[in-house]
Amino acid sequence: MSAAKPRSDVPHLAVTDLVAGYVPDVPILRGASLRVDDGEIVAVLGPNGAGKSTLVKAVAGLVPARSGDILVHGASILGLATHKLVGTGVAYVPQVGNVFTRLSVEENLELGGLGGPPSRTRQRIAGMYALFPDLARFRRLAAGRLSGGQRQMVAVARALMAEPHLLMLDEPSAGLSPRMVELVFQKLLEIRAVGVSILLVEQNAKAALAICDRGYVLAEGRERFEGSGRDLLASPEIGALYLGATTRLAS
Amino acid sequence: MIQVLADGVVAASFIVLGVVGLSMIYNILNFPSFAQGDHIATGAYIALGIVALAGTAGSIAGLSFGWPLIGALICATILNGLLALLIDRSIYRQLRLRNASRISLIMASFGVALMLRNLIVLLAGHDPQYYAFAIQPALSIGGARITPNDLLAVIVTTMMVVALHLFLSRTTLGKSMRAVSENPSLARVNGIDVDRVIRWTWLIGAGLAAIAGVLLGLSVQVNPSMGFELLLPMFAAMIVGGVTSVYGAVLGALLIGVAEAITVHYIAPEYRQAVAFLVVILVLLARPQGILGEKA
Ligand SMILES: Nc1ncnc2c1ncn2[C@@H]1O[C@H](COP(=O)(O)OP(=O)(O)O)[C@@H](O)[C@H]1O
Ligand SMILES: [Mg+2]
Repeated sequence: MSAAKPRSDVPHLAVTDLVAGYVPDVPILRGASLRVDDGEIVAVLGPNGAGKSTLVKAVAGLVPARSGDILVHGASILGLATHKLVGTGVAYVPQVGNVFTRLSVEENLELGGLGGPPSRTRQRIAGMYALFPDLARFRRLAAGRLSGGQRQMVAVARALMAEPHLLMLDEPSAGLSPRMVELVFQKLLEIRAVGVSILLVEQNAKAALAICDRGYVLAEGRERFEGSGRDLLASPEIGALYLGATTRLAS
Repeated sequence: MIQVLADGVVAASFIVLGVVGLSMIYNILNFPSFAQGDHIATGAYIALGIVALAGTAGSIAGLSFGWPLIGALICATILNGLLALLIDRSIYRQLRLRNASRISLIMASFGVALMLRNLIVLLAGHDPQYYAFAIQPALSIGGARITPNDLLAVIVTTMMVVALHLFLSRTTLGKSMRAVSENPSLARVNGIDVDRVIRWTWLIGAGLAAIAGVLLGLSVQVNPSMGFELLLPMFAAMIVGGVTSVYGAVLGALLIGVAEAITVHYIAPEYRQAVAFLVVILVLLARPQGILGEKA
């Protein structure tokens, strides 16, 4: 079911001058642009309400784009029905409500692998249990009964079931303990190591910048800074102006 | 007492078959369809039309009808599903595309209810009708007397509930339905075609309603308001069982059916629905989210 492996010189995802919002005439994104290249982890940072979630929702087709373009592997996906996104090789883990709480862990994974042959789905599920050993123990349990960290793992595993080339994660560290955040981010590095590019939306700037290749700082619906993780970490005005976490960045 | 229980289970059968559709539509399309009762009636009348053409020759093992009625039941199930699909395409879907509010959808379902009932009157008249008149001696089972037709209703309903459970827990489409009913946008993100799930919801909901209609017609009679009269008990069953759970709705239907039978036996038939609602209120006082419902 996953799309053919794209050429590595075309960005996996390219968003250009995107204007998008929930209601007509109230744009939340006001000309946002970003790019994710093959094998990259790209962080999107910014204060609360900057439009980070709106950006990934627009890519997923959950928020209508008014102008600009969204290219996946060089082809525009504007107007694509949300349920067809996985077919382009892009998987998305929303910020909230990212698991089916009434379905078992295994059912969540099965639905993530929808459309593939059943034998492949079995194989992928086994792969997910190898990546997230905790989940195997809870396979029959309703996902709503898991802890926040375990749920986040179900959500990521569910998204990976579709064998995406690009994984979009909206604040995977929200509400997790520092130890859990470290574990989740460690998993992201493992996932990238098997060839999946990652677009990582985060509030936790320090943790995100530590693992990303490049990052964007979004504010008021546009990207205001772009740079390598190291540069953004080192830049004091970015910390002060847009991350709202000067002390965390400096420490 | 055994007899009351048996009568209650028979009464519950028709509610069960109707409420499954009501509950699925509520959870997947996010509105209570006030036309669900009339979908029961259209199913009964479609079967009646087929029987009028094909006859009900013969009698199977003590039942009041012959094999043609079984064929009519199956055809009515499919045709009633397709009718609901047509209504969805031409009415509810148009409203969904315009992001209509839930109250608009509810009002539309009132309209559909009236339209279906009047269509029936127009085509078949007000008078009660019957599928067949063959004599069926009542059976005695464990001290309760039950007609073969009513026994068939209980058996078919049980089979349908088991089939529904297997469908929801084992098949991809069934799991997709549960996914859409919990979180439609995440379902889309997962690659589930929500429109397809909605189509199947109508097919299944109205299909089961047709089975309810035919079985109720065999048990009592076929008349234009036969389904509308089941609407209140169906709503009671869905609410008492917990609106988020199809299984809850089935349990709720059993409870309402038995409560109605108790009222008919020990109090008076006129208080049937009042007592059913008393049961609803008592259960909700103890458990506001219903028997199997989830806390909001
Ligand atoms: N469903 C929605 N309907 C209308 N406005 C929304 C919705 N979700 C978010 N917004 C608004 O869009 C803006 C950006 O929100 P969001 O993209 O969630 O920000 P972030 O993820 O960066 O915190 C905020 O002003 C917020 O109020
Ligand atoms: Mg957000």
